[in-house]
Amino acid sequence: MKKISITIFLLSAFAFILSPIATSLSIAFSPDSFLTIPTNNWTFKWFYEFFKQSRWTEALIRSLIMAIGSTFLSLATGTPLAYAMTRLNIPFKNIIHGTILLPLIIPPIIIGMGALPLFYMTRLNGTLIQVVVMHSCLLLPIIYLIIKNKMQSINPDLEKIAMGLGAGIFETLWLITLPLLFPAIVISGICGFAISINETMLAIFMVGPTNETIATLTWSELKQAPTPLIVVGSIINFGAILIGVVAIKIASIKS
Amino acid sequence: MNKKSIPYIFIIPALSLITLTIITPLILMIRVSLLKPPEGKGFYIPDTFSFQNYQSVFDSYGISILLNTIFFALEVSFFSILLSFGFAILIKKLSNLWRIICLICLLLPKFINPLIIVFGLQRLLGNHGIINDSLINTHLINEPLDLIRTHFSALIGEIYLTIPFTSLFLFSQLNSIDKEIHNAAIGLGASNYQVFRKITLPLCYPGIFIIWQLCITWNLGSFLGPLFLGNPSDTTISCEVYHQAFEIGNWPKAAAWSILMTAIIIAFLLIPRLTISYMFKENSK
Repeated sequence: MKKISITIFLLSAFAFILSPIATSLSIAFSPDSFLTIPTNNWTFKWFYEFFKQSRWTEALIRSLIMAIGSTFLSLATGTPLAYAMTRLNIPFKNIIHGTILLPLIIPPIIIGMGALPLFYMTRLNGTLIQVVVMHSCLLLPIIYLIIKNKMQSINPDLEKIAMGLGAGIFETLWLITLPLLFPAIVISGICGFAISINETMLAIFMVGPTNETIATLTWSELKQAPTPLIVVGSIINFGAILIGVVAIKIASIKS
Repeated sequence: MNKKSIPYIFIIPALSLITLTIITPLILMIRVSLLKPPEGKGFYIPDTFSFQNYQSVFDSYGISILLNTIFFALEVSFFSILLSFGFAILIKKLSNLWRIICLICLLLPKFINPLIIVFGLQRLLGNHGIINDSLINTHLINEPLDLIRTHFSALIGEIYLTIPFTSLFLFSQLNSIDKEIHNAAIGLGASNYQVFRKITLPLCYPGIFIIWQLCITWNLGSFLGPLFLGNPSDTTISCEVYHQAFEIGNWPKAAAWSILMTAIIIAFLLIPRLTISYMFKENSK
């Protein structure tokens, strides 16, 4: 009896949690553009439509470039930082830690507004570079926290042994620390990719009218007249994340 | 390259990235917020100095927005922590397979654009949305209920966007409690409710406090819920910043709002923390 009541409660709870997503998803398969919930006519019409319109396909390519670029930039800056913060002797560690976590607590809309004039000064406004830079700053604290967590669980003696046997610090990093860190780097990379590809609030400030990504197109459509294409775009983004996860899984099994 | 400079090589890229994207803009924003607002053309009048923007932020309309934002953040964090605590307790009771399925369901909204969740809520709660349509079709009501563009719908929207984080965090918090403590209490004759009240809940307090702080800081910046689902009287500071900067083009006032909001967020992060550490110091004396 107790088990049944728990099950019923959980089912209703998850119906509550997933209902908005389910509603949006079902609209992507509806035959007409009035955004009604389909009853019996399910079609893939909007998916064909999505790949026919160059506006959306170009936005998809830009989204992918943006997400991959910002993931790599934040990994390249966050991994050494996490290493240095756990292993090396750095003054003002607390202050640095707090500064790195700033993007997590300051609302993206303020970050976006503040950074816009800066990019005007450097004449980078309207290019994809500014989105990549801003997104990587947003991903940096998350990647830093994940990798730092993993770093703390790695036995520091391994590195000391390597250095005692004559390896330099960079050699030790390349041969010992990085392979041990690799799972955390992959996981944080996937998280970063997923966050960057779906992030909207910074992107609407940073992306000019010539460089729209899927997220900003969704935003502008949602403000005026939404079509089922916005949901299709999001599904395809989700598909890109899934493909990445599966590809990494297969690669790790093979190796 | 000498040995002392090695640690700096590791931290300089990340620090310069943060300086470029967060700290410099914030400092610039303080300067911009002290400029005079534009008259007709442009975003601001250069080379001026006035406290006019801060004065206009604290007029009666501004104060109502301010209180609204803080109240809204408190409300969202309260309800989402309450709901996700319930989730976490329930999920913990499940078998392993179901637990993983439930956690995936919880995480799923985070891998989908939040705008799509807002859009789904619009379709769900709208005047011709699923709920109203089905209620009318079954003749329970004649007129559609006002579900969207209310305080309630803005609240629901923001709760949807917060719940995945809070429930995952509280779940890991609950999981980290040693099971033996629970068994010992049962063995000593405590009822299930007593165990929850006297053991589980107090052990969760630190975790609840941390997630409450995170919730508050996220929801002080809540934007999508109030903008797309709330009614105009639910405007928050983020919406006002967006409105001033992009729709009106009054850059100095938007900057003044942003500075104020950053100050509020930092106050909400620091004051409870300092109070608690002060209280513990008093106790230990």
